[in-house]
Amino acid sequence: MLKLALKSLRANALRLGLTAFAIILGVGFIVSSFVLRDGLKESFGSLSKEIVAGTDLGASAPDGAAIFTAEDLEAVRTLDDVRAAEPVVINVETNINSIQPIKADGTVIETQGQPPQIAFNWADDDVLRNSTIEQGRAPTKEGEWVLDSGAAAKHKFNVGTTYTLSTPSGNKSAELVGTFRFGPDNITNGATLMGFSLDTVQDYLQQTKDGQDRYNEIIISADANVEIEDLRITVQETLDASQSAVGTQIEVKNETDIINEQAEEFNFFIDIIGYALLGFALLALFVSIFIIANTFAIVISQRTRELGLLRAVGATPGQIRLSVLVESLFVGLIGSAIGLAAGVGIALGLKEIFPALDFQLPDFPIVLTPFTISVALSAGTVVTVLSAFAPAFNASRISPVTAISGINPDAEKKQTLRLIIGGVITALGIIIMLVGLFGGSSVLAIVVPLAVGAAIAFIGVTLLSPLAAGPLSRFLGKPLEILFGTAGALAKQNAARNPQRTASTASALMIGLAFVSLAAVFSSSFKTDLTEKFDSKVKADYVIRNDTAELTISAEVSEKLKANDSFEVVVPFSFGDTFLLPTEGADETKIDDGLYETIVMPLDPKTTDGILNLDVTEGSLTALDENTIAIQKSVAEDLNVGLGDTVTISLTDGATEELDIMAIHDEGQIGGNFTITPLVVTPERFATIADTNLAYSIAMTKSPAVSVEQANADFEAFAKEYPTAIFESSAEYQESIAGEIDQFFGTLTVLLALAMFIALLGIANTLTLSIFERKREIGLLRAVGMTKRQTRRMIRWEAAIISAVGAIFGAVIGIALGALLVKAIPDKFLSSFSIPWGLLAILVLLASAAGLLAALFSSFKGSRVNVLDAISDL
Amino acid sequence: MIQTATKAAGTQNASKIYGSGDTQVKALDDVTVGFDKGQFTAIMGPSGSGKSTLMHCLAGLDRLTSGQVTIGNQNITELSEKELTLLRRTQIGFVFQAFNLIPTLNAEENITLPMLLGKTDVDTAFFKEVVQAVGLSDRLSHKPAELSGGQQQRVAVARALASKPDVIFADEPTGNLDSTTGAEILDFMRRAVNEFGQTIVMVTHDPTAASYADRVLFLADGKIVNELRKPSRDLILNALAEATTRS
Ligand SMILES: Nc1ncnc2c1ncn2[C@@H]1O[C@H](COP(=O)(O)OP(=O)(O)O)[C@@H](O)[C@H]1O
Ligand SMILES: [Mg+2]
Repeated sequence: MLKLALKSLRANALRLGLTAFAIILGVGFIVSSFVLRDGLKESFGSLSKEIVAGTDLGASAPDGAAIFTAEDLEAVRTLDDVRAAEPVVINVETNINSIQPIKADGTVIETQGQPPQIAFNWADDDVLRNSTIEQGRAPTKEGEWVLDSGAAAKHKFNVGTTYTLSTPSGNKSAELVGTFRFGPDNITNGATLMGFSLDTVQDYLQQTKDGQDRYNEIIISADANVEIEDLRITVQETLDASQSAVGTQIEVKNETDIINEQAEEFNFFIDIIGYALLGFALLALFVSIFIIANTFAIVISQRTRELGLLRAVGATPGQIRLSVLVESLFVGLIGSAIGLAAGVGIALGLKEIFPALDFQLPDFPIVLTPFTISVALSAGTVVTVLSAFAPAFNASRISPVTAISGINPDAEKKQTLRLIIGGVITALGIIIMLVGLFGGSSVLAIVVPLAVGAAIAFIGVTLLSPLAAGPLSRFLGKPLEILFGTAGALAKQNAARNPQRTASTASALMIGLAFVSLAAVFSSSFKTDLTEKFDSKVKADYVIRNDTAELTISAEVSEKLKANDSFEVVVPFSFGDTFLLPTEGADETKIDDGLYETIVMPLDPKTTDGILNLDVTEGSLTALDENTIAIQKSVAEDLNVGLGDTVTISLTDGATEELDIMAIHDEGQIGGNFTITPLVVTPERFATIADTNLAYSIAMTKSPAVSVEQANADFEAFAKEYPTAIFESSAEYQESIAGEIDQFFGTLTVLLALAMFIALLGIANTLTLSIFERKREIGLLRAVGMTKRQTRRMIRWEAAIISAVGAIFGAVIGIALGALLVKAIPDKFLSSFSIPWGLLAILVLLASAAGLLAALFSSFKGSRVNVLDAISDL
Repeated sequence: MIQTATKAAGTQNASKIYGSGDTQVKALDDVTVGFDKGQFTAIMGPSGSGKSTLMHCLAGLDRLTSGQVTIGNQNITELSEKELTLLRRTQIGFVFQAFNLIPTLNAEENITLPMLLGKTDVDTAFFKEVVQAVGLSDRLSHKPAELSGGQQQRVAVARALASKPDVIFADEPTGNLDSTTGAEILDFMRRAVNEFGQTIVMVTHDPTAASYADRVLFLADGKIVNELRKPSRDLILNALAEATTRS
């Protein structure tokens, strides 16, 4: 039987080669996602070591907040065994509160999808600083800065020139006094590094607490031959005893721990990229299952006679089954092995492609771990053998008699059984999805049932779809008949003649298109939702924001805007983290460490009334003052409080304050960069609760006293002065967020294109096999006067019909899944459901056109059918 | 060019050689033959004598190694692949031994297929006449799978006739049928010649079938070795035996 399997493999080399190609692609992309992830981890691992080099111990708060005082630093410096200790002031999380230098041409270094811009103090100690001046000198006072030599060269900053820096404290003017190298080779993985004198960076970044300058970290270099762990304990004890430790937990860590922590932070993001790629790779592999199963099914139906003969001369059903499975095992193994190699190639390709997509990836080594190899080989092989199970089973049931008499066993007798099974499987899949969507409490508990349910439902739908494939093919083929006459009519008939094959062939494309349509429906709904909410809730003429949602706008901007006569109401959207004390009957699960954590924002109801619509459901905002607060419905429920009750809020100085609840407002998404937080207080009260005066976005109205031209001109002038922020009219803003969603959809579609490419490959494969089967028919057509061109056209349009069938099924499923998802997502995030009919129609047309393309090879082959061979009576 | 307007088809010094060297086979050896308009010709000969090869070359399905083929008054030897295809569509009809019909098309569509491919109008009156003659009027909407073997062959003959070609080539059209059904087909082909003036060239193994023809050619080793006009079945049997012993 092994010999038989190998023989048949050789005889069907071409078809199985096409099958293996699906495996190669699927496995290739899995491997590339692993290779990319491992390579990036290695690359950032070395960077982590570089960052920490020279530091023996580091002290910080868990959230990186600036808490250390000058006294803390002094206390550490005076400890025995400490050679040197330096304060670190740095913009904490990558882009937040960052300093952005403005280039000579008035533009800024791009932020979206790009490496971070990091500002820090230029330390005195050479070892702890880990950076060396290359040109010029170190910054010593306010109005001076240094830049890493890589960024200086790349963005054309020249030593000796004075630049404007956008900082959380407003725009600052500073001379670039030098460039430096970070570590030995200035490997920054693309980040922009800026050094300032300690006072300057504290001032710029506003790292103060209770009006006192603070440091984010204290880093320590020990004397030679000191037991680091002993010193660590001493430092920990020293800092714990300090005043700044009150209410916070200070951690003192050794070099290894800091490196690991640093690497972990990087790895978190690398894993996100890796998992996203893996998701698409798995989808591709899933699509491959349908193609492989279909190919095996067709090859076996073509070999019915041969298998029947084998049965007649004494092969048992088990032996037949085994021979098919062994064949699939070989295809799977070979395909996976090639896929492994292809994956490395794809990873190298992605390395080249990412920068072109405006997404900066650092250089990374190719790392092929044993884990990657084993996953690749087993995934590809298991998938192939699993796919061959049903065809193998069918093959073993071929009766010797039917096979020899040549009666087509495809003559469906188990049609109803198939439909029942298909219906049950589909229902099962949908139920699993519903359970995940509406019952899942964590992301994982939602995503996993969703994916598994969708996979099961797709299998079920594939079993059901032959029911509709025939009539749909005939319907779609109608226009072709008019357009291309007989070639079109025959294309239609050929697509409809074996609905089961058409449906299975189309299923792969169906899955791909289902996801693209889902993304399209989702994007469209999201877009409608954002613009509708923004329209109905924000009555602004102008808006200001940043391209990266985390970036902030300094208070200087809103103050200058308020002072300008062109603008009437200026509403900066500032957010502060804060705590409420739990009240009687509060939901225990929402209370952490005896506190209810939430977010607060300042609003002046006297001016914002009519401009911001907060959806107040109870009470009124108009009388909001320093002793009152508006809270969101969900907070009221969590804390079991209502209108007129009081809540206790913690202040920055450590005290608490009781505030009366004046109003209860509804859920807070009001479109894109504009959010109403759970707590709303007056600006005066906000200043006592939160430490920040930075805004994430600003909404404002034009003053009726000035002309539109005047206001626009002033607005433009501001835009020039603050190039880090995006200045737009309300209409422009809505357009650009819609554009961003479109871009997101575009990226998703590019990633899904892989699955669709494999699907088209499947169509090409099936078609080639069908042509082989219909050789005589094509020969006859050619004999009675069908031209090669007509033959090609007939085959191409058959492919187009099959693709269109798959695409339409996919679009319908996508719409259904989209509806389900929109329903499952809470209304506060997404409440509109909108179907982009035009886009879906274009997608279906594109998919059908791609089918035409997929048929290029088979149509060429079909037109080359030798008429004599085909009609000679064998 | 010795063809006159009275010839529907013919060859001039037609040779067809397969392979080369030791394995070389001379399937046609300098054959010059003409088929008169409105004549029913049968071609007989032992297996491998070149009957099918002659048919295929005449019908523009295959090319000669040397010599010429004429259809109507057109020399088709130099025609391009596409021109040959269009010629087959309009000027030549076919009936094969089996697998004559496209399974996805019904009887009517199969009959009009050459016209449909050329997007030329179907001569409805003639179509009706042909369909009537083959007795398929009530079967027109049936798919081939729903027709008996004899009915299928009748559809094939009707297709060959319907486009009013210069000549119809039939390669053992009754080879797969029982004798009664075969006789029906042959009767019908005979009537096509008599009533519509159709030219038919038919390859057959069966002397009874050949006796329907006006003229019987005998082929052996790629050469025409004998020719009979309006022969009886016995005469044919004798000539066939002679041709067989020759090869
Ligand atoms: N494609 C081919 N390649 C090689 N030899 C062929 C081919 N077709 C036919 N022949 C040979 O040509 C000769 C004539 O064949 P054919 O015309 O089919 O004979 P008939 O139809 O009289 O049985 C035979 O010897 C046959 O083997
Ligand atoms: Mg023959």
